[in-house]
Amino acid sequence: MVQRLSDAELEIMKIVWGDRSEVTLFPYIMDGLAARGKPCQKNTLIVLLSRLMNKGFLSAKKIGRRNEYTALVSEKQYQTAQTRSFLDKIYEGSAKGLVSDLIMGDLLTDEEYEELKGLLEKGMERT
Amino acid sequence: MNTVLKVFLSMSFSGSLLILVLLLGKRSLNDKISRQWQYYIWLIVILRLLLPFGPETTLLGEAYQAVDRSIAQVSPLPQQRPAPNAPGSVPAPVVGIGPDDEEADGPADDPVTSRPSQDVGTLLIDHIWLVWLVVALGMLIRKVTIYQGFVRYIKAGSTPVSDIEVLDQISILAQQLSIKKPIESCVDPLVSSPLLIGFFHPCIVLPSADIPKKDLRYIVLHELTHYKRRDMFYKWLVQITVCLHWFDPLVHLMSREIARDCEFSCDEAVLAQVGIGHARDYGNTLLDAMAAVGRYKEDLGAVTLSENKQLLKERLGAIMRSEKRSKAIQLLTGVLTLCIVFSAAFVGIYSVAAATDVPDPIKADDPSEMETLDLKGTSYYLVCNETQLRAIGTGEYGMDQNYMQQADIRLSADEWIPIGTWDDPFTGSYNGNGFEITGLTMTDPDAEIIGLFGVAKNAHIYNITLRDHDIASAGKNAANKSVGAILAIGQGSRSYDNFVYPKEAAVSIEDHPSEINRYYQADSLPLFEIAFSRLDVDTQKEWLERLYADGDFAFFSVAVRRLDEDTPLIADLAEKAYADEEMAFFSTLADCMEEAELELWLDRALEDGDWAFGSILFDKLDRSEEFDELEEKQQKEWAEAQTAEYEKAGVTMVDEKTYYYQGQLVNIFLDIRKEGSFYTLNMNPKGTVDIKIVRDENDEIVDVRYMTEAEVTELLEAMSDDEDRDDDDRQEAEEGKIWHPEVVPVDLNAVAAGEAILLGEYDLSDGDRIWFNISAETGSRMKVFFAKKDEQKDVVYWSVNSVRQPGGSLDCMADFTVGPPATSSGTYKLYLQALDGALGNVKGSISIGSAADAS
Repeated sequence: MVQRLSDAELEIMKIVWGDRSEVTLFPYIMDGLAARGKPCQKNTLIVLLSRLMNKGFLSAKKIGRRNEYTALVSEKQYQTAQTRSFLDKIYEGSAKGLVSDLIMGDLLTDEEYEELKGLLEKGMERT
Repeated sequence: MNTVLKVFLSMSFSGSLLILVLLLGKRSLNDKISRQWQYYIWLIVILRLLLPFGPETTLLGEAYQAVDRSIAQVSPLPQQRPAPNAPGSVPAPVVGIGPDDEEADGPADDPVTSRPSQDVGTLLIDHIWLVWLVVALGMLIRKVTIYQGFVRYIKAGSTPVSDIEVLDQISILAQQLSIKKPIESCVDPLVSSPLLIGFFHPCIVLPSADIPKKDLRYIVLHELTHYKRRDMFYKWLVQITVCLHWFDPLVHLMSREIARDCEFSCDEAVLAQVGIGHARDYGNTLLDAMAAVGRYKEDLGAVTLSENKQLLKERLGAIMRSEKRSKAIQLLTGVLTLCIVFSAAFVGIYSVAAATDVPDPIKADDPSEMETLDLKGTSYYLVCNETQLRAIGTGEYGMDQNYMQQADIRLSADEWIPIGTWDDPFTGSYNGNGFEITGLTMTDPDAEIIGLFGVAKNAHIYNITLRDHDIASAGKNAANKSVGAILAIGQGSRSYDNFVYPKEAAVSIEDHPSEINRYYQADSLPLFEIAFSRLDVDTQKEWLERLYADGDFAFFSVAVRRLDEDTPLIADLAEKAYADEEMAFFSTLADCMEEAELELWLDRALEDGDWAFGSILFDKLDRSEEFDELEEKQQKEWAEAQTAEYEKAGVTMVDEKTYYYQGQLVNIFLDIRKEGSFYTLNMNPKGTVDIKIVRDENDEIVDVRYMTEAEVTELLEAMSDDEDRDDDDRQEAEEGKIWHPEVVPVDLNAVAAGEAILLGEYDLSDGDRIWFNISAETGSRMKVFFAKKDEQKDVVYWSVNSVRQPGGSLDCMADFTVGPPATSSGTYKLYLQALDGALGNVKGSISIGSAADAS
């Protein structure tokens, strides 16, 4: 089961996910947080990173004084897992309720709506 | 093992005394002394409680020994001796180190069980250490599990702090306190107040997520200070101490006191960090922390911000009163610390070493009690003293046992009874282990079996070193005796690797005179020296005379060193050496003389005018300065006499270079002594007259004459000849002869003042030529001369005595011909002497041309 992330942890994961290179370095995360307007202390980041590792989101490889971080859970995996738990909690597992809320609540733009429609039809064909 | 318990009890008692002193002291000095000090001073007490070391003599050491003795008398511990003659070829495993040891593997296979039940009580006493240990371990395990449970409980209910601000604040404060480790933090509503857990991965546990920022700062600072000072380790050290000294209520009291002091001193450290001005704020934070009430009693292991209300009140009071401490107090603190450290060291403990010194009543009764040692499945009885060694022979332990010596054993003069008889032979093994057995004595004239071991059958006897044994007189009257220093009769026994060194007197006296001759021939100085010291006086005298005659100075000097003091030999030899002018030999002999004797010799040498010997003697008497003075005086006297002599003849000698004759300054001054051995030639270019001293056969001045022009020319020519002539054309003499001289090279770095250096001995015959060509770099007067071999040195021949002219060189250049009337053929010694001060870097050569070789 994929655990929930705190806001700060999610910020870090986003930076790691956003990093195109295979591994992410400590200073890159520091800079990323600062760029997002959420700077933090070095030790704080260390604590947060170790929490992420404990939760199984990251793995770290120590090369000399340099730590290389790799994401173990992809952004997609996390989103899916979070959506599922969201669905379970709020809509008691009903995706229909969610979609109708999205439409009824005017939370979708027209383009998004068309896209969604297309996706639904494609999904029909697959079954 | 009870010894360990004894040590622990004594440590507990000493520690308790210290605790009492500290508690009382702190009551009176509460606020005056730094809280830090109050906290850390307990460490010394803990060390006293945990470390079984102390100085040799301690305050209470004696008391402990006294208690020990009285206990030993009241309840003597039963001795458990391994059953002798244990069944089976391999003796039963024997355990134990000391007489008050027990069988650790329980009473099941212990002979005690077979004894009456009265031993149960003593058994309990014997095993009381086990009770102590079990309780201590139990307590420790309980404390550890409680702590683990607590940590698990905290962890389970906690959520990590996700507020970046809080995390950042912790990071910043950690940096301020220069803590490198990242500090984890979490929120657990179950704890009543903030606390810190984890030894290596510290985690601050907060009771709630929203703590005001100011409070948070103090809380975090407080907890981080705990972490930084490693209070967790201190706490657990205290817990271990409490567990080990569980029977001591004062130690428990101390534990509580330390917990208090820990918080007090932490508060103090925090205030020092934030500044005393913030004392009130900090106090408020403490109160707020108390407001939230937790649901778990967490007084163990973790360091909390606040523990109970009573303590909190005291802490608040302390915080408000806190102030900078004066220099005087700091000094007082230092002195107190020293006092406590020293008292901790000297209050002492029950010393095991001292305990073994206490004459153990049991041990004293039975020193033959042998300990055992298991080696590769074989059990050895350890033999350490005479009683034990003799006990083997009595069969007390069994003739078939294995024995191993563990110490050098010096036997008393009591008659030795060999181990093993015909009726009861020794059948085991004895390993001397390289230790010595000295002084084995057997004198019984009727003894038939003589030796360390008497009769042995299939026994192994090895590695024994037997020294200074005396068995020569034993068995004189016995008709049928068997003697063997180690083993007299060995039936199928093996006796090997044993060393026997009989008493010195028993050595067959070797023939020292022949021995010493061998050493002398072999040129072995050290052996010669030793052998010489063993000779009787007459032989020593013979040897010394022989060495003297051989001129073997090295052997002579070591021999002299070995002479008895005040033997007449030295005086005799000295007399001889003095007469022979053998200075080196004389000097060696003088080394062995008393001061008074040296004085006598000195008087004699001075009387004889023998300056060389005088010099040695002054030197030996450590009065060489006196000698120098004397010599100077002598020279001065001589110079004065010379001046007076010239004066009488009408020549005024102002100094060595300035002469006046009849009011005129003398240019050439020539004074040739008897046989041409010694002449004074001085040239002063400013002078106007040339004079010549004429002497008669007795060297008395008979006339002073102006030199004729011819004489002057001859003299100058001779001198210029000396100067112009160099080595190559020297070989060509006026007569057209070619000389093939023997060249004596001279190359001396230094010649000490007054020293005459022997350059060699030469046979000179009529017609031979001698050339001197020597120069000295430094120094003022140099003399080169020959002396007859058998005569005193002061009758000189063919001598040149030159004086350095200011700015000039110091040379001895001369050309002599041997022959009548002045000189005769014979053996002469060639010397070079420094007359006035030392000479340096003397170089050149002396050439002696034999007339026979000249062509």
